[in-house]
Amino acid sequence: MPNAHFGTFERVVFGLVFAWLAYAGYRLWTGTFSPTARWVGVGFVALAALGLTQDLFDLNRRSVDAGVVSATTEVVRGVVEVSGGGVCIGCERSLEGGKYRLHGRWVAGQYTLRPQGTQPYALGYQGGEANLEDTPLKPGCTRGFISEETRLEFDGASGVVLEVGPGASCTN
Amino acid sequence: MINTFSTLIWLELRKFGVFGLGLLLGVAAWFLLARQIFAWTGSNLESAIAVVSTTAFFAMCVNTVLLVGLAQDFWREYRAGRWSLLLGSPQPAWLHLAAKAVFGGAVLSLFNGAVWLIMTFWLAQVGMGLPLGLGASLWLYALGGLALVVPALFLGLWVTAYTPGKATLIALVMGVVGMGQVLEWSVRLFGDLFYKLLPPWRLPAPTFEQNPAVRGLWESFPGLPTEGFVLSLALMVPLFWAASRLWQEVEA
Repeated sequence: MPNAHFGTFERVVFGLVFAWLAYAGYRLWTGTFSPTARWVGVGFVALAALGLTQDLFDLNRRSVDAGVVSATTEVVRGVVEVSGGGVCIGCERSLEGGKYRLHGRWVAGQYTLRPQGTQPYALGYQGGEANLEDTPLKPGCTRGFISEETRLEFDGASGVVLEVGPGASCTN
Repeated sequence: MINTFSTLIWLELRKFGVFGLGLLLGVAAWFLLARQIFAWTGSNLESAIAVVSTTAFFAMCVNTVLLVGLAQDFWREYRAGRWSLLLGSPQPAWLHLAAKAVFGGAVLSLFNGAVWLIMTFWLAQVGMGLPLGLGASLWLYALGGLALVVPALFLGLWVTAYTPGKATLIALVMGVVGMGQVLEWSVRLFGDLFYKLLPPWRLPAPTFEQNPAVRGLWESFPGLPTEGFVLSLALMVPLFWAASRLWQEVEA
């Protein structure tokens, strides 16, 4: 259980919801003679319970991250911590080679970069809009250094490359 | 046997025809009325925004009412047990469902098409051209092969099936939650494949007279995932099947 959190709040709320689900399942099973209605009812209850369990154990992060919508925190130790996300089409991320790398065909979302010390970054995009701390960036490649927490916003930017860490560059 | 489907369509037309016509007349009346209330000559941005937002709001309300109405009507007719009497022999459930889905889809398409035309007219006054292809494309995607209408009918059936046990409200809540879970799990399981298997569903760009930058922004957007459309079509099949089974079991 990587990030399971069982506070009093979770115990009470999830306990009540699971109890209600069990009750609903019982009522739906005994409420009809139609086999299809029974099985669809039990199936729906099971799906809801499964979804809640996933949320409870925080196991859904990987699958949310993998799709079009991403909301993650990724850490390259000693280099940078990147959090946030949004809609990212054709996205590839990697944390290899001691740097953070994000490659996307089209990105709309906010990212927060927390560098450890001063780190070089490279940020490239072709069309659309991108803002670094509310300052619009020109299309093409922007390189520089960050030493403080920085907010990065993409408003439908295409051909996005973001790299933070030693040897950051816009080309691969 | 040949005439069954057309008979069912005709029954739907008898039941909803006047209502649908009234809906279209209402939209036409609103089109004329809005031109009396708001200034529409010249490029008047405020009145365009006012009319477009009001139209969108009412369209959303009417769509919701229409879907709820379809589900309720389904339940009422069903309980009255009128269909088997009218048609002489019990018809397969999928035929009833198909007739309702086709007719419901047609009414919704006509209404939303008319609303789209009103919006196009008002946005054209302020120099923004919405191509018809954009509306048609979005609507086709949203219908997802009637995936909007079938779950609504399905919920209607769902309630019907549970009425004897007096668990109607629980059934309705679990129906809504379950539908949400079905959609969420589909995205969780197949979200990885979006934009990878099929070419994206491109949307034609609206034209702005003054602003070519917005056009560039639009054109950089790859489009909607075609896989999502295929997924909703694929989801429709088991839903349709389950609804059909439910119908037959509850009717028996």
